[in-house]
Amino acid sequence: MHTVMHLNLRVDPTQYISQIREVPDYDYIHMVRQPKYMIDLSLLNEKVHYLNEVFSPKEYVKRNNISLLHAHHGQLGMLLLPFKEETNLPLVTSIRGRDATLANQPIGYLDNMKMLFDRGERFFPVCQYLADRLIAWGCPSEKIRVLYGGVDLNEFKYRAPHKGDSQNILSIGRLVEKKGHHILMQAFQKIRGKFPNATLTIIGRGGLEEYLISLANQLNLGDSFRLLNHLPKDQVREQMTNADIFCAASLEAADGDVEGIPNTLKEAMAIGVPVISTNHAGIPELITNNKEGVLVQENNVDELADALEFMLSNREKWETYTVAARQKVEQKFNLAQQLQQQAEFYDELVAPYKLGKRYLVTPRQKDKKVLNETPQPQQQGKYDGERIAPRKKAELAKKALIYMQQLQQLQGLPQLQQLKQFPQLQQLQQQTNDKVKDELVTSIKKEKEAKVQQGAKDQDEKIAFRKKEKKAQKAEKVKKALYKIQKFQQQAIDEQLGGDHGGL
Amino acid sequence: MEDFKTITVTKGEKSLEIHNPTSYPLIGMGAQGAVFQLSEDKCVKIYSDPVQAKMEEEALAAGKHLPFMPLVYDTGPNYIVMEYFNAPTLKEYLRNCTYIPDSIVEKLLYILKELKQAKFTMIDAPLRHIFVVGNEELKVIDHVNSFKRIHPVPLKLLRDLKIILLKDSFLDQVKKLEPDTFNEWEGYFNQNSLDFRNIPVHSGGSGNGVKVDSAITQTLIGKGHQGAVYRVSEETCVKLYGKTEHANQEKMVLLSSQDLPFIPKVFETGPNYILMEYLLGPDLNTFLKKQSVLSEDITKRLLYILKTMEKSGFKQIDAPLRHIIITKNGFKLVDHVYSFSREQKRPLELFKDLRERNFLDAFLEQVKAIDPDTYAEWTKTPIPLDENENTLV
Repeated sequence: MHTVMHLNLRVDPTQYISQIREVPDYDYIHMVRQPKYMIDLSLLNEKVHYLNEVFSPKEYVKRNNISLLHAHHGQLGMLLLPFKEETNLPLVTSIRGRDATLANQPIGYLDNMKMLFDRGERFFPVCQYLADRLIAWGCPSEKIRVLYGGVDLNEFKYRAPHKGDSQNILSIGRLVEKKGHHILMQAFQKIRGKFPNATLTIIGRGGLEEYLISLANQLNLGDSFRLLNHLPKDQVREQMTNADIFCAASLEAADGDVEGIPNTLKEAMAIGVPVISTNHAGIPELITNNKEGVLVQENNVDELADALEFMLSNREKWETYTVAARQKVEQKFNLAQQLQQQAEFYDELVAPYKLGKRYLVTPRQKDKKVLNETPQPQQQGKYDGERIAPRKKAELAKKALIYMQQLQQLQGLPQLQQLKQFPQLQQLQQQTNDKVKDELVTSIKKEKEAKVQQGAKDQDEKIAFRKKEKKAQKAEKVKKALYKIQKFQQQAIDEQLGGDHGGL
Repeated sequence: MEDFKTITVTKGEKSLEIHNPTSYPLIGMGAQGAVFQLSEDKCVKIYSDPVQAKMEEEALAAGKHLPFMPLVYDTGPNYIVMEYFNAPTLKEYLRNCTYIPDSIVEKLLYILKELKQAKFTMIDAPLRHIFVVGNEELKVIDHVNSFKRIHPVPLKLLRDLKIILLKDSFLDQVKKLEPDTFNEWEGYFNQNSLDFRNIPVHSGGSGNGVKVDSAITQTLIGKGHQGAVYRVSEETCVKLYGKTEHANQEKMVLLSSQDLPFIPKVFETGPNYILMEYLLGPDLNTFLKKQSVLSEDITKRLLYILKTMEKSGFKQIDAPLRHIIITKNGFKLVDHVYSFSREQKRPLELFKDLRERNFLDAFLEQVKAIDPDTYAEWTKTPIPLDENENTLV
């Protein structure tokens, strides 16, 4: 199994832990910059490490058998560049809303991002909107893979919309400008005359707390408005389950800060709460207006007020929205499925022995069909991507074994290490390398054939495009594999020379 | 106009004593002197020791031609009137930066090169002494020791950059821009690597810490009254003692308590050093700063350590928060020089630390529920509130 060294901001339950610790078939090191960023004891284990404490990156990587680096923010990707330089490992960087704005960033941010685009192997923006931004900033599109964050469908189970006459509107998100809480509060104030029993609850903490409280007073929202903070996770979910309408009034902040796709919105959709949101950032990728919910222009009090009024007056439409919404989340924002996708993106970068995997795994189109045939959202709650998740492990293991044997032949045995200077051995090594190369080429060929067969019926332009993209990926893979082999040899040479431990 | 010469700066017990009858604001104070702002672009540095005023005056004169030196307007026996920079320091300028911009690297290398050419022996500056003025131009202040200290390699600069995680990206670029400089530095560090088995004992005298050779500060983890701790390898560190007596006291405690889970593992000892496991993780004080509540788990772990110490015959029953390291193998307690010699029954320093973090009440509340006897023992007499009372019980 490969080990990925993840660098995220904090060891903290809110920081996409599953994308670090639950990626199928990939072991992890959970790294943070310094010990002070380890803030949750329940998440501390032997895999939590500290970047500033690494004594020698080369030795560290060797000892922990790391084959890939994954930084979970643009800034963290930059921070890992010297580490990458030293260890020659491929680097993946996740791109979230905060990374795609130039406002309020440290000195040299854009230049450094461009350098990261140049040196990093992959970028995982959390939505297409951010992918487009990266491309506009000069990131090569072939390095980009959109990786939506997923919702744990077992945790967020579907329930039908409330039938009663309660009118409780909920919004969840840090109290910062881009969440648009102030717009929602004003919109809410506008509809209160017509819906005197309606309530608005906002859950979150942040710098704008005082401002929002004073705004509530100014708008005379009285008891119909609540601002809750410091709620534990399960209580937040309970609030969501009890809400009649969920609203995310996201907008571009004055300093340019934007969202990706708010996770709370996906969660509300998974639960079956009808949602209202805005045409902001990646949100239209999650919600089509009047299909999975209602979308309005961002930063527009009147439109939002109209949408609230529309939703409150058309209760009979709720279930149509929520069924479609749940289905959308199941198809594109299912945690298990997204983690699987993440693993496949990793596969492109590491492990020649996994190259054949693509045709071993059930094609995604089929899985979608299965999903589409699933009739009731309630039943779909059982579906958690398990059907995709288990890989053909035996096949993989076999390939892995062959690879490992080759690896040991090349590298592992100390006797061999010493003998390496003999020309015969070098020749042998070359032969083994060639064999690995040949295998790669064969497997790629096979894969291609499989694809051709499978794709024969598909005349779709989209697929043609995808194929093209895949071809490029494959070329890259071969390049990578060759590079890996080179690196491999270099490493063997380094070891002969007694290793270079980078003095400073 | 007021006369800054009426300001006096003298050496006090712990820090400088300043008498300022003028309205010129104090803008900075260090070991040697204090700086007052005179106008928008002028300030005066007043020294407690005229020798140091002279030293800085000479350095500034020697570097007069260098564009990054502050202009000098006037000098006197104990003062220098010089240019004032209303600008962020380099440390502030680089805030949140995770890769040091190439423009800054180039400018820093230029400064170091010029200092060397001007025959300064201190080819170094800490980040807080470098200002970033308009157009990203750098200015360097504080040149008192420019001809006294010998730093052929920018030790302070590198150490500061390491703290803000920019050392690696700095060196990466130095390697590319000036390979010779990079090799020179690397050679210096290799030559001056820590040989703890042959280090001479520098007894700093009473009240003073061990003297630390600045050439090896890159691996310094921390230093206190009795010793200094250096990282030796990925998993080991060494504590060097100024006095063999302290080394012996701590050796005794650590070696006889290796079976206790919270005692760091010892690998090797010498007359004035102990080689032990390097503990990875935040200290408990740092950790608690980020917590809104004190979890019972932490209270239980603390209680376990304190009770076990008591049972194992430790005399000093205490666990200051900064001495507890949260590792993947549980809480570890460091600094045991006085564990067997100082009699102390209640963890007063722990109480004080918890109070500072606003968790003392929660802690005692939880102890009361978990272990009422210990709670009763601890609260039989009131817990002293100020530091002076803490030391003697």
